[in-house]
Amino acid sequence: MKRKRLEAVEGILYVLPSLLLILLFSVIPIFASTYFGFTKYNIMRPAEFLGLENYRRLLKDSYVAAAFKNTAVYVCLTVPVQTGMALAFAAFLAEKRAKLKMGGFLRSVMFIPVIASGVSAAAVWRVILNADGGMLNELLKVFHLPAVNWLGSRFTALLSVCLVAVWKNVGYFLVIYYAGIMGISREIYESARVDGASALQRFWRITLPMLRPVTYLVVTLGIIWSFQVFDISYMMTGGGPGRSTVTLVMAIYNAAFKEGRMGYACAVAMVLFVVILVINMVENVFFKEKGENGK
Amino acid sequence: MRRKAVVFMVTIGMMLGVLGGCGDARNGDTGSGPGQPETGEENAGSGEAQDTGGKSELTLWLPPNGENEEEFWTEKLADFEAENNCEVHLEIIPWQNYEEKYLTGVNSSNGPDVGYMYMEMFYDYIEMGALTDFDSYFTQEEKENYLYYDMGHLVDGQYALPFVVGNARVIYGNMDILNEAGVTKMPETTEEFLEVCKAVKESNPEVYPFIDVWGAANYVVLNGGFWPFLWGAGGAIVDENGNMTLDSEAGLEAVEFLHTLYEEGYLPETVTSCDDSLTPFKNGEAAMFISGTVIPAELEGIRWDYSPVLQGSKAAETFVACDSLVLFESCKNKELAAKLMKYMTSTDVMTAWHKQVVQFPPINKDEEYVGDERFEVMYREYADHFKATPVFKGAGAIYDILYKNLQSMMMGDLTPKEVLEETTDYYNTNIK
Amino acid sequence: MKKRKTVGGWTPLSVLGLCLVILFAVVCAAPFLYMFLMSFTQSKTPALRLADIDFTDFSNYIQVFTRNGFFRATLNSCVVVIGSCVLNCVISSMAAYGFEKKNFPGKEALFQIYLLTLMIPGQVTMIPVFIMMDQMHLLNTYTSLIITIVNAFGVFLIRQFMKGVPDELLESAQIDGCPEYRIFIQIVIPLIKPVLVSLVIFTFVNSWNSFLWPLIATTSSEMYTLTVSLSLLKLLDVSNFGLIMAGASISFLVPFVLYLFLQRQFVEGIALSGIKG
Repeated sequence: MKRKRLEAVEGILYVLPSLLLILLFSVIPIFASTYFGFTKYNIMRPAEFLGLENYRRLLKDSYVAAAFKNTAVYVCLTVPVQTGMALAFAAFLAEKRAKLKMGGFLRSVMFIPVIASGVSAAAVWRVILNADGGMLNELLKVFHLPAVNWLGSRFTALLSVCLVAVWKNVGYFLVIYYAGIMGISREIYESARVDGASALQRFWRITLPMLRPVTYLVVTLGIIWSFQVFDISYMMTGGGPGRSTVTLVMAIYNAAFKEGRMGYACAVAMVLFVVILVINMVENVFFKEKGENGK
Repeated sequence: MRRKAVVFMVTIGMMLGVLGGCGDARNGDTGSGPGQPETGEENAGSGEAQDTGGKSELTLWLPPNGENEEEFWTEKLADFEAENNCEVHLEIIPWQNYEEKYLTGVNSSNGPDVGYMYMEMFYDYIEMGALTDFDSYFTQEEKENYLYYDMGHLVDGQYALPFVVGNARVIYGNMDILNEAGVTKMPETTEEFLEVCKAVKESNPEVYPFIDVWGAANYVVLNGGFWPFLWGAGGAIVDENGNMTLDSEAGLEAVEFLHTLYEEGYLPETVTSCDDSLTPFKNGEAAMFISGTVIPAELEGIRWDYSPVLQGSKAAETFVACDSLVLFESCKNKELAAKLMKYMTSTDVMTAWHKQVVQFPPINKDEEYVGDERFEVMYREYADHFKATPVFKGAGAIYDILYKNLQSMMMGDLTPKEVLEETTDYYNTNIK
Repeated sequence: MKKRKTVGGWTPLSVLGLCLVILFAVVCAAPFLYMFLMSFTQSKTPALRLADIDFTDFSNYIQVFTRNGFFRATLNSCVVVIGSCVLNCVISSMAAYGFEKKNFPGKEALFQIYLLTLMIPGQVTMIPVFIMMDQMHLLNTYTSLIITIVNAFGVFLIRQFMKGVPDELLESAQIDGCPEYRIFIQIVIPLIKPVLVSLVIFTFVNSWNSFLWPLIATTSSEMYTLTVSLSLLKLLDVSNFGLIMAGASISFLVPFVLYLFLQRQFVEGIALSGIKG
C-alpha cells in the first residue's frame, strides 16, 4: 500500500514540470484567448466585455475575409500538389532504388529546403522572384517568355507563396512516404511482379492503398501547417500587394501588434482554432470510413 | 533512499524557477548596452548589477534616418553620459516594422524613455496616456531657439519636440531622359506631369516615366505619392473632428489620378512589387521619382532637376515630415530624459547630425542650412505649400489599409470609388 | 517481361520520372547555391553575374556581423536552441517516464489531455502567452524564448519509445536497492538515447527556425534571434542584395552543416514529427 502511494507521488513529481508548462502555455492561454475574444482589450487598459461584438465585426471585416479566402486558396493549392509530388517522387525512388545509385543523394538534396527556416528561404525567393532582373525572369527571358511580376500581381503573388511552400515541404513528406513504402512487405510486390503487374499497376493496386494511413498523416499535417502559414508570406510580400497574400495568422498578428486590438485578434484566433478542429474531425471521420470500406 | 528521489525531482523542478529568476533580473533593462554581449543564461542575470552604482539609465529609440545613425549617436551620447553620469541605451528601430515595435514595446512596458515618432503615431499614444506633456521641463529661452516648438503642441499638450521638420517630398527628374523626350523643364501642374509622362513613354518605351515604392513593406509611399495629389485636388484626410473625409470628390480625383498613372503605363506594371525607387532612377531606368530633399547626396553623376510641388485642380501642397522626439510617461527620470532631448536637439549636435548623417534643414534658429543649396531657396519660398499629415485616432492603421486598397486598385480588384468607400468603412467600423 | 526490351529496365516513362526527380532536386538546391554565390557580390540588382563574385570579399559577412547585429543574434539563437533542447529533453523524458512506468490516479485521463493540447496551434495562444509573459516580466529574455518550445509532443514521443524498456529491468534494479533517481538517469536515459537524439534534432530545427514568437517576444535588438534579425535586414542599406544573401546564408549554414554530418539522424528526427498528427 505504502509502496503504491510512494510510486504515485514519484509519478506525479516526474510529470509535474511538464504539466506546469503545458498548463501555463497551452491550456490556460486557450481559455484566456476564448475570454479575450469577447472583449475589447489592449494591455494598457483593462478588458471591456463586449459579448459577441467582435465576432459580429469579424463577419463584416473585408480584411479578415480576404485572409480567409487566401488561406483557403493556399490550402487547396499546396496540400494536393505537395502530397502528389511527394508521393510520386517517393514511389519512383523506392521502385528504382536498386538501379539508381544516386537515389539517396537525391532524397538528401530534396530535404535541404526542409531544414532551412521559412524566413531565409523566403528572403532568397523574394530576390529570385524579383520582377526586375530576378533570376526566374532572367531564366524566362532565355526561353523568350515574357517577364512576370511574380510578387506584384493579383494571382501570381499568392501563387508564388504557395510554390515556395510546396518547394519547402515536398522533401519532408517525401521522407515520410518513402519510409511508408519501405514498410510495405516485399513479398506482396514480389507476388504482384510474378503475376505480371507493371510498375504503375503495382503502384495503384498495392502502394497507394497500403499507404492510406501515411496519406492521412501527410494530408492532415499539410492542412494544419497551411493554416498556420505566416513566415513565408510575411517575408516575401508582407501580405500585399493589396490583400492578396494576407493569411489568417497575419490577420491575427496585424490586429494585435499593428493596430493594438488584442481582443479582436483573439476572436480571429479562435475562429482559426475552430476551423482547424473541425477539419481535423471531418478528416478523421472521412478517412476512418474509407479505410473500413476499403477492407 | 526514497527521499533522495524526491530531492532529485525538486531540483529538476527548480530548474524552471532558475530560468524564471533570470528573467526577473533582466526586467527593466531592455537593452543592456551595445558591445556587452552576454554569453549565456547565467549571465543574463547580471542585468541587476547594471542598475546599481547610482547611475541613471535611459533607453532611447531612434529610426535609421541615415546610414551611420548608430555610430553617430553612440559617439554623441558618450559625451552626454559622461557629463550626466548616466547610461543611455540606444536602439535603432528599422522603419520596416517601426510602428509594431513601438506598440509592442510600449504596451508591454518594454518601451523606451525617449522615442521618435511621426504624425501618424501620436494620437493613439496620447490617448493611451503613454506620452508626457514635457512643457514644464523647458525654459522660455530654450523654447524660443527652436523654430518649430509650437508644432509639437498636439491634441491637448506639448507631447512632441519637433526633431526633423522638412525633407519635403519633391519630384525629381532625370534631365537627360526628359530632354531626349523633348521636355526642357520639370512639370509644375498635375496636367503637365501627365504630359511629361506621356512624352517620355513615347520617346523611349524602355524607360519608366515615373516610379514609386508601391510595393514597400509599409505605407511610406502615401507621403509623396498620394497625399500631395489629394491636397492638390482640395481634399483632406480628416476634418477637425477626426471624421474621415477621404470619400469625397477630391479624394476620388486623387485616386483616379493615380489610377490613370498606372493604367496608362506611366507607372510600371511592376510597381506593386517595387520597394526601392532610387535605384531604378539612378540606373537611368526611370525618368522621374518622388523622394525627400535629403536624396541629392545619392544622385551624383545624374543630371537631375526637381519640381517642388505640383499644382492640382484646387491647390498646390506637398508633404513635409514633422517627426518629433517624445518623452514617455513610463520614464522614471523625466528630468534627465528632458535633458537628453535638449542635448540631442542642441545646435551643435543638430549641425553635426545634418552634416554627417542626413541633410535635414535646421530646427534651431541659430543653426545653418547644410543641405543641397538648391533646396534652401525652396524651403524659404515654398513654405506655404508644405503640409504635415494630421494627428487623429488610428492614423497609422488606416493609412496601412488605404495603402493596401490602393494596391488592390492597381491590380484591378477595386475601383477608385471602392477604395475610398472601403477605407472609410473600415475606419468607421474597426478603428474609430 | 515485355518491359525487358528497354535498356536496363528503363522505360520511357521511368526516364521521364527520373528527369523530373533530378529537375526537382536541382530546384531544391539552386536557391541555396544562388544565395551563397550572391553573398560574395556587392550586386545592386537581383541578377547574379558570375563576374561579380569575389570569394575573397567577406565584406557582406563582416557588415552583417558588425553593423546589423548578427553576431549577437547568432549568439542568442545558439543560447535559445541549446536551452530549448536541454529543457525539452529533460522535462519530456521525465514526464514520459512518469506516465509510462509509474502509476498514479488519473494518469491516462491526464495523458489524453496532453494529446488534446497538441491540437492547439501556437498562433492561437500567442496573444495570451504574450500578455502572461509581460505580466511575469519575461519578455526580452531567453526564458520566454526557451520555455515556449516545450509541448506535449516530446512526452508523447518518448513515452511511445519507453514502452520498449522492460519493466523487469527497472524492478530488479529497485530490488537491488538502486535509488530512484539513478534508475532514471543510469538505466532509463541510456536506453532511450536514440529517441532523445531525434527529439534534440526536432527541437533544434524548430527552435532555430522559429520566427513569429521571437518577433513578438523581443523588442530589444539585444535579444533578437537570427530569424528576426534577418527579417529586418532588407531595408537599411541601399539595396545591396549581397548583404541580404549573406544574412540568409548565416541563418542557413548552422542547420545545414549539422545536416551534412548527421544526415540520418536529421531525417529521422524531423520525420518523427509526423507522428505528432
